[in-house]
Amino acid sequence: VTPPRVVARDLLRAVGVEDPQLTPDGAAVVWTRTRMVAAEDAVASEVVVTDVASGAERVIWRGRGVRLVRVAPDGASAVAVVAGMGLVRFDLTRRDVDPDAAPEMLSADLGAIRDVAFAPDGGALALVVGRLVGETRASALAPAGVAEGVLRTTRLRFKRDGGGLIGDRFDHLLYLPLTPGAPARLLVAGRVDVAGATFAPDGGSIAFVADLDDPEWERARRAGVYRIDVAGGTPRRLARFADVRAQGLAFSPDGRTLAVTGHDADGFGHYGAQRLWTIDVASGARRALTRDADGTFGAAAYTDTGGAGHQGPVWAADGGSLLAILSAGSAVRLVRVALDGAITPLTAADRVIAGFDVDAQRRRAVVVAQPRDRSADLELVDLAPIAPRATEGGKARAGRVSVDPPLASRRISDHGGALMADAVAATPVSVPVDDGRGPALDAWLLLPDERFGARVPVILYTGGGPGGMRSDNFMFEWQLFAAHGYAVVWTNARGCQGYGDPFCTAILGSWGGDDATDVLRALDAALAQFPRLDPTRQAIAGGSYGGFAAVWAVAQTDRFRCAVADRSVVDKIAAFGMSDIGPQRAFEFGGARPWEDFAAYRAQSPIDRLGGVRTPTLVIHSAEDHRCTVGQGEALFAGLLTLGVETRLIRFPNESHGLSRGGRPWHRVRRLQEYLDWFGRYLQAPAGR
Amino acid sequence: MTHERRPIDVLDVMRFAMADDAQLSPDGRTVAWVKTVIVPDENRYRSQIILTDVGGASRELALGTHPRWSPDGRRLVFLAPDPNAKPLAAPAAAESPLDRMAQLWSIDPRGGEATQLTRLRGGVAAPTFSPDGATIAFTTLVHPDRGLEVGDPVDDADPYVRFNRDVLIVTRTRWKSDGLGLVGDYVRQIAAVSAAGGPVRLLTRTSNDVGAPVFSPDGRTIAFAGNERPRGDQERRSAIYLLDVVKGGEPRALWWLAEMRGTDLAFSPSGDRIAVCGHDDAPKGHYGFQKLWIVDVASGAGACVSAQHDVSLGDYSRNQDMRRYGGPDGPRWLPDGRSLLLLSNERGTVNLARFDLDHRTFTPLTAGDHSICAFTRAAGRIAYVQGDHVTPGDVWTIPEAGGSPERLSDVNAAMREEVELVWPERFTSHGSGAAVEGWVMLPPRRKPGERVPVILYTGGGPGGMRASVFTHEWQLYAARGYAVVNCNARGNYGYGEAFSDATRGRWGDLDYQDNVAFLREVVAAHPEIDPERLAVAGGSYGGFMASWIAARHPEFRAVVVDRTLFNRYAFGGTSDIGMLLDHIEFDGKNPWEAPDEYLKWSPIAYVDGIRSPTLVVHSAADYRCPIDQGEQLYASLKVLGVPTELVRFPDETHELSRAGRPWHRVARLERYLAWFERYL
Repeated sequence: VTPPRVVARDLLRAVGVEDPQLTPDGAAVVWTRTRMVAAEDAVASEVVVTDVASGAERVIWRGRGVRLVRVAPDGASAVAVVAGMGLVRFDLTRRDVDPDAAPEMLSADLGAIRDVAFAPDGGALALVVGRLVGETRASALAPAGVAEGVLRTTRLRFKRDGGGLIGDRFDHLLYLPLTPGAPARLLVAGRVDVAGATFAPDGGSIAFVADLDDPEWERARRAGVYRIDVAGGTPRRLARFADVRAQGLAFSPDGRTLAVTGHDADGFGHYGAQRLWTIDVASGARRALTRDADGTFGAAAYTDTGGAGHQGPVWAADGGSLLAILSAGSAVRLVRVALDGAITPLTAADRVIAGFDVDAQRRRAVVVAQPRDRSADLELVDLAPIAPRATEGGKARAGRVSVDPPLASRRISDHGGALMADAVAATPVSVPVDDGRGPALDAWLLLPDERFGARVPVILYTGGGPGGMRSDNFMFEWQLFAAHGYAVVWTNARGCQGYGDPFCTAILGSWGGDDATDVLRALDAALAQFPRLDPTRQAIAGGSYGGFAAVWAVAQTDRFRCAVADRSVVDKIAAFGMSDIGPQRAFEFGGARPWEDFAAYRAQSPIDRLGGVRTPTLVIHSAEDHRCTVGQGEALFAGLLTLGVETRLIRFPNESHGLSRGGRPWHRVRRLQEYLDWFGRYLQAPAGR
Repeated sequence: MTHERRPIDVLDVMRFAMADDAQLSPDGRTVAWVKTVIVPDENRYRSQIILTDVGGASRELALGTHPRWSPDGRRLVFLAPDPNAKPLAAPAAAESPLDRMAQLWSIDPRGGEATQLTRLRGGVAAPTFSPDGATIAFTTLVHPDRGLEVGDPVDDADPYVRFNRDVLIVTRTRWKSDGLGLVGDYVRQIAAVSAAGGPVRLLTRTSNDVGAPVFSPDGRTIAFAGNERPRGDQERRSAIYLLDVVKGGEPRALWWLAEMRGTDLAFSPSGDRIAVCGHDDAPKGHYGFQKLWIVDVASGAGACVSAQHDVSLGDYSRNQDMRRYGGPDGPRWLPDGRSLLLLSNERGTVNLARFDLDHRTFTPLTAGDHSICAFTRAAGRIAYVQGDHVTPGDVWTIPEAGGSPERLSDVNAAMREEVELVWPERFTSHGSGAAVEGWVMLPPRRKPGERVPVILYTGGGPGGMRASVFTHEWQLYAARGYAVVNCNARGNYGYGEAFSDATRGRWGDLDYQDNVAFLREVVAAHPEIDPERLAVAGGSYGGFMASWIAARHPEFRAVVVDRTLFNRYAFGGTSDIGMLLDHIEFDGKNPWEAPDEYLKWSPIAYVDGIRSPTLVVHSAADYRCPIDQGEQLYASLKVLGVPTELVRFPDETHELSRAGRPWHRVARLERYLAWFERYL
């Protein structure tokens, strides 16, 4: 037996490079580094300043739970939110900062801060803060401390995956002058959520995303873009969309135009491609710069380690173009978008860009780059050589994505290699899927090294979403499987973003149709093209919607020796009333709520055809998963037991839907080990078990 | 009455004392029982073992529950927490019962220090002395891979193990249990310890949970209920198993029953027969009446001996909220070997009776509008716990030969003097095709001519009985000016098996009609009740019924749906008894085999008919009706724009209203009252 060169607990070497920001002068990158503390089962974080010229880095603060680090417009300081402390400020000018000293406290009791933005002059912050609305105490009689845990709520969205049970907390907009003694000003409050606060260049107003006009907004997906004067008053709606990315607002340098990421295809929900739009601030007139066929804006590709950051858009200094991350095909790149919609990639397709920032003059960008063979690092991209492209008068709409060679980039952190240490990462190979049974698909195969012999078992990994995508970027989980002798196949089946609205919406209202066909097409293509894959030893595994896909598959076929259904959704009727986003998903069932059309919900529910399952299935679920709630996994497990199908339930307490990416370190290791043990039990045995 | 009593209030929920588990000493002279009070400052219950001499004085013994006499009466064992239990750095999941299980203690009933006999991670339940007094058998939770876990748990050096202790790994069906928690793969087994202390011996290594151990009179055999068939934990049926204590070996299945009360097994005085309650009409499940069966130990032949009596045996009084745990309620042999003592459920009362095996007749020993929930016997005497509409419960005794009952405790004497309590009026309706019996409580302080709003309180179950028990909650509503109405609709015990079975697989049909007709006729017969101000409230199956009624009757001004079932299609796979219940309700079909049936009998199918303001109350650790059910109702009402509020109690089970943390119970009552006040 060949000892594996990568084991599950190697995950603990993962380093996160998060949320990089260039100082306005472009001289330094301020970012957050996370490391796992194995002895304490915790994640430690550091605020790091890296000098762009020398590459030298200094740690200005270390502890736990720092987030939303925002560099002030003068570059001299940064604010951040630290768990258990509140809003703090770091001095970026001093060279002799003690990273273990307590940071300067700005405010401790504002509430749960969800977003922070600096005013252009640095004199104030716009904060999005979760605040309780109304009387929510469960008991007037109980003494302090004995009934506070009782949740009393009247809002529909009273829970958020990852954020827990928020009850009647709403996300309000707060204007906080940084002048000592100046009071904070609540600009938007009440029973509404706001997001994406962005200052206009003159500092006089703030744009944000909300739906202030529909009293039943919690049931809907639509959202508006609003602007409010920092002095207060009534917010003015600039435009309304079917879907808006909260972090995608950006004012042009002259303040006359607002860039927005979203789409206006009612009924497409998260299946619609995120497009770039401009809104004329004076008139509210909006214009789409890009089409769904261009891809979706934002970093849509999944991974399990690395880091992420701001996804744009940001305006070029002259206001003539925008920089943003575009997920198109299977590539996720930093691109420049001219106001006529012409798109120029700035980074290469061999790495996924998960976040970026630019200096004030837009001479350079820092990006979070995820290559194929290692986890993410920070890279600098020199933007100067690219001049904004001349507009083409709205012509030549086809093929607008330029094929210009990408800009050179330079790595300024070096953590991506830590995970694999001295093991060599397997490299994904592309598997063409063009069998005439549907559209051509992007698919990939990760093969174990030659030590594992001429025939290897193969795992079909079904992706989450829908409305996300896969690329060939590094994924520790798959490297781990490959290091244990398993080939891994994945694909962008219909329902994935990056291939235009028709491709993604093909499964809207029909989960288990084209998507189920496509994942098997990818596996068949891999088996046909790579004789090393042993067709008698196939498995299927996936999380979330990918868990749905795994259960759906084994309900119709016995080709797999085993399956893993991780954080899955199997019963759409129950999910409507249980998932934090359940009630907003009626559009996937022709607009019907469950009681109006049970059949539509059942038709997309694997539990409805559970009687067909004979495949041993591992069920993994987190108890605090508010997206696909734990009852989904429990019902699946109970059903399999009732059917006499071999199964095992792994139930992680105090974890959310994000366990595999952001859970407690040892829980993540345990999860991986459970996968390996399950595969080992069913895939290592010789054929004809 | 010489003084003015005050109205009962919310905080009084913490001031009533509870009496449980009357255990008569072998000489018949002393009753050991448990008195439980609430300690508001500590937000917990405090249970004390009390010894009361028949016709004499009482004295307090140790803190604990489940007192059991040694055969010679010189020792008493009981259950209490381990004061020295060391919490581990990384605890097991909060929902896991392990690390905080009760242990077995022994004490001299004349006084002195108690001795701790066990330190088992799996805890101790159902202790029982061997006939010679040398051994105590009990049940404990055991992991099949780990065996008995004794003493202090040790933190593993490997952080992979240490930090994953809270991860639940499950391969079996009954991995969660409302009240107990998430037991995972731990299986209930029988173990024994010497009465003098020493190592604990594991006596069974079964695949599935076993019931309480019972020694044969010669002490050579332990009988228990279980099901060791393959996938037996997915079945409702149980067998009586016999374990040879002397020779050891595998337990032997003696005799099977479709529905068996696993706590009931009783050897006849000569040990040749075992009495147990249950029934063998598998499709009827929990709707079938519990009858008395006598099983011949030698031949394994069993027969029902009470078939001609259409009554269910054991305590099925429900809806009380001031009882801690009751105590033994199964059949007990009289020394003649020809008769047994039993509890019999009839028309909202539970009484003691003697059953004569020769003539197959019942002879009542007690009579009255009350409920007896537990009893024991010794030396010609019976001790029991009895309560009624205005009495949470006290210890009583009566001679086996019959005679006048004697009350041995009066744990709420002071409260009875202080607060005003309402004895409800019995009422019968006929408008739904059956005589439906129930109760009406009118507010005691009505002004002349005043008309009061009314709350229809729909009961839980099915498979129990609304009875003469004390319900603080209802007394409180009456004191606040609401009439409270509840009834034994079809599906309840006490009115014949056909009445009980009439709602099997058809919740929301006849039972619904019964509730609505009962309320209508009560209102018509009571001019004091304002027919315009109606509310409906209920928990569990009663929550189901409240939402079912609300969906059809927008005239209700306020609705409270507590710990409910809402979507039965999703219930089976998430409730601790889900599939076991479903297979009775839906003719053995799984949800995916009969989705239309499951949804047709689910409130979710009719939720868009609800217009009335609806308060949704649920406990997060309710594994009987999981929180999913309440949250789905709440989300549906929000989507429909119906005025609603969700109150979600953390770390509480299905038993919140009866056994939850005291201040959570207070908060729950405040929310109910606020809802009624706002909309009525």
